[in-house]
Amino acid sequence: MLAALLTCCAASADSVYQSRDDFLREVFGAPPPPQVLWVDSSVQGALKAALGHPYGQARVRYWRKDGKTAWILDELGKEYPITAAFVLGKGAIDSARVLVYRETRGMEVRYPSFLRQYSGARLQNGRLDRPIDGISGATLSVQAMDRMARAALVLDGHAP
Amino acid sequence: MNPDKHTRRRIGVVLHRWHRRLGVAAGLFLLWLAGSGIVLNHSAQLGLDRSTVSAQWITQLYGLHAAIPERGFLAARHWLVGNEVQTVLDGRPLETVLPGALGLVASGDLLFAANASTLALFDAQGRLVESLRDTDLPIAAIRRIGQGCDAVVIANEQDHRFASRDGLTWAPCADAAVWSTSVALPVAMQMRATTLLRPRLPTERVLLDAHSGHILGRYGPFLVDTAGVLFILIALSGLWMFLRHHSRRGHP
Repeated sequence: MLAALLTCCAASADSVYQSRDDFLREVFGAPPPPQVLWVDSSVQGALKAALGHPYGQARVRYWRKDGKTAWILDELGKEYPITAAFVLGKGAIDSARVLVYRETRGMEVRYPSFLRQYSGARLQNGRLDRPIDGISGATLSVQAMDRMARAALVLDGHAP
Repeated sequence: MNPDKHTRRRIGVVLHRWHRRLGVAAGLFLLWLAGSGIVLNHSAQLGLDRSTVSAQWITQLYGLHAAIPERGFLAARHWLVGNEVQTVLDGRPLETVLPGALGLVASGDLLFAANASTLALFDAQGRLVESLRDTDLPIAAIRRIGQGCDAVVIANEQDHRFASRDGLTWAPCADAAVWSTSVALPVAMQMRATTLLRPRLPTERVLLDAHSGHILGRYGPFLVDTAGVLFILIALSGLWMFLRHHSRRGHP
């Protein structure tokens, strides 16, 4: 039984679709040095509303250049975190990308046809200002992407 | 009375009596199986896939026993102790688990704890500042962590060393380093860590095994199978009595 338990929990296979450095090079050309946003109580409150749970770290790194910011976030899908990147400009999402997917089901969230829905999205009363169509069989991954999109918009709004 | 009729009536009475007895015996089983099945169907929403159970009588059913930790890492009066499923800093369990921890180093207000795949930065209260994976670091797999070049140094298997004070920017470091190594735990810390490092199991897994009977070992599933056979017998006897009653009313 223990063996089965260990087998179940070690079953994550990381699918790396793009490395962080490649993503930053694609967005910025020569990537700027990372900056840090400290998660104080006001940021934490807004993040908790966006994510539905407290943000687990005291600081978030981001990259800023030419009026754009890039955020790389992790959020639990069902059992494993999804690593996604968001580029923001003028208070809206420019583009979204899945960098690493670790779940066994639901990797369709990486498809451009799904991710394009986030382009132009803003926060309106703590929610995205547009509906995001779900994907059958990837409900939890879609929900995780929605949470990260909201969190990226919150973070961008608090970034100095 | 016709002996045939008498026999049929007698069978009916006996069947009815046993139907009720089986119903009582199977009722509790049915409640448990139905209840646990409903809960398992919604385990993700209920957070059972993320919560854990550490009750000793349950973990012992899985053959898991608490081990007394003997060694830990010490940096600036902070102790890091851990096993494969739990990491404890200064007697407080951390949300970030570092199985196979390699060391603990202090730099300014930050504590750097590493295993092969993760470098975790904590403040003095044990709050996670940032968790860095290999994609955030200049080396793919950390082999050692220590102090050198007036900063925290990490090195890989090939002894390529990089130093950082804040975990944000890293620079190559050619200086000699003092590597973090495990030391014997003081008794007080050992006792505290023993309680905190008790074996844990995912609640969903325990509930699933209780639902299927596997939690009771090799013969547990047979017990649940027996309950299943009871349900079948109750269903068949109930159906038989219903049809018999129905046919009687239809043909007096």
